[in-house]
Amino acid sequence: MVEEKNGSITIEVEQRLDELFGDSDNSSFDHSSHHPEFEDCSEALPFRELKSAVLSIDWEITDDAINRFIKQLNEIKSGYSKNKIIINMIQILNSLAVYLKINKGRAHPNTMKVLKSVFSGLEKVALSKKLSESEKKKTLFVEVEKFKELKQQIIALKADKAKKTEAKPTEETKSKVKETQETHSDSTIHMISEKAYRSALEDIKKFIKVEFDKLRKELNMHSS
Amino acid sequence: MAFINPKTKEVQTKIVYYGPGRGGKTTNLEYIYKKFNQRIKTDMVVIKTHGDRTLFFDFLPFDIGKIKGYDIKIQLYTVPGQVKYDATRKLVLRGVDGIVFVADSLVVRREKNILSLKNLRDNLSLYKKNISDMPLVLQYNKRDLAEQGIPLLPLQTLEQDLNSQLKVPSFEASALSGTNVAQTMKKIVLMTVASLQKQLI
Repeated sequence: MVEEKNGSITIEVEQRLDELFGDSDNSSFDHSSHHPEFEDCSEALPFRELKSAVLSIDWEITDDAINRFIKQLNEIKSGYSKNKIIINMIQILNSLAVYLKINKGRAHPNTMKVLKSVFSGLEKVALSKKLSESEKKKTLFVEVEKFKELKQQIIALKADKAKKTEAKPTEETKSKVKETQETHSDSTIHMISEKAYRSALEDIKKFIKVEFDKLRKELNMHSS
Repeated sequence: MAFINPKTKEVQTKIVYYGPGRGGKTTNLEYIYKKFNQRIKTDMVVIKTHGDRTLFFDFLPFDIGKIKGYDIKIQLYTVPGQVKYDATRKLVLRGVDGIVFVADSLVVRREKNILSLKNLRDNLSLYKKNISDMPLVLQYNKRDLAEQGIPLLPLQTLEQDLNSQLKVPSFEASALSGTNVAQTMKKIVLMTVASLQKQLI
């Protein structure tokens, strides 16, 4: 691979790399190395699809990715309708997905962390043959707690935002105030001009009356 | 171009994992980090944006020790694969010394592989670099999925699509299980060091 004049350095680098990264993997492809903890591959397939959807959402929150995730959740749900632990976890994931779908990039930054964690818990509970029932319950409990904590964080964040909005008028509020002021001053101007118009009209009427009176007097004088 | 400091006798080389989105670039680095952390004694840095999504890049530096009196430091980077993050990819490619192109073996990703390789060629040309002169290794990832009946591109097709002109070393791999992850990395480090030495002579 390398020319002879470069040989000594590359041989040294190769030796060093072998020391650091040796006995690490197989140069021939090893199919059995995939997820050794999950014994039943046919059972694992829907979860693999779900994981792919989780990774898609993690990469970018799009309606397509979330819809795919929810669809996959429903498929898994139908296969585990009698397993309360799994159903509860699916419900949590569904709530998180709906929240992400509505809020997208504005969602709380911890949402994806919790979603990935609940997914891992679900995968563990559904596929690991070594897990006892109490361990499964414990896993659910941990994930429920994380979900509750996230809900509290979302509520706190919303409250914080609301406080800031009250304390500091936003551009929108400012423009609304300005608009109201403008409307108010417009109507004042309108009221003033109407008053002036009425008074001018009265003046004209008076002027015409006076002029007519004068004309009448003159006509009477001429006729007499 | 690698950073060489003759005073401190230090050489820093930059290797970038390139490829289409969701192809397994980050998984490669994560595997190396998890598997060899005890030996390479380093931290993996993941630059994330709001929402905890990996939108910028991952960075894994490690030291291979002194070679001919020089301390060789390797820096592994990934780039975001999605089309819209081209600006980030261009930025990460600045000063690159070696590239691992991680292709996705799924049949449905065939076109994305080809487009991503073209994108790599274009972005390298911005730095006046020719892909043919660059140390490059191809990795055909996700080969493990064949066992689950998921349709994969045959190796001949991948070679024809991506490597017919380049003719660079290639590996079948599974970044998830670690198969050939270290082999790929070792190969690119060796090629990069050899290339640097050639340039310096």
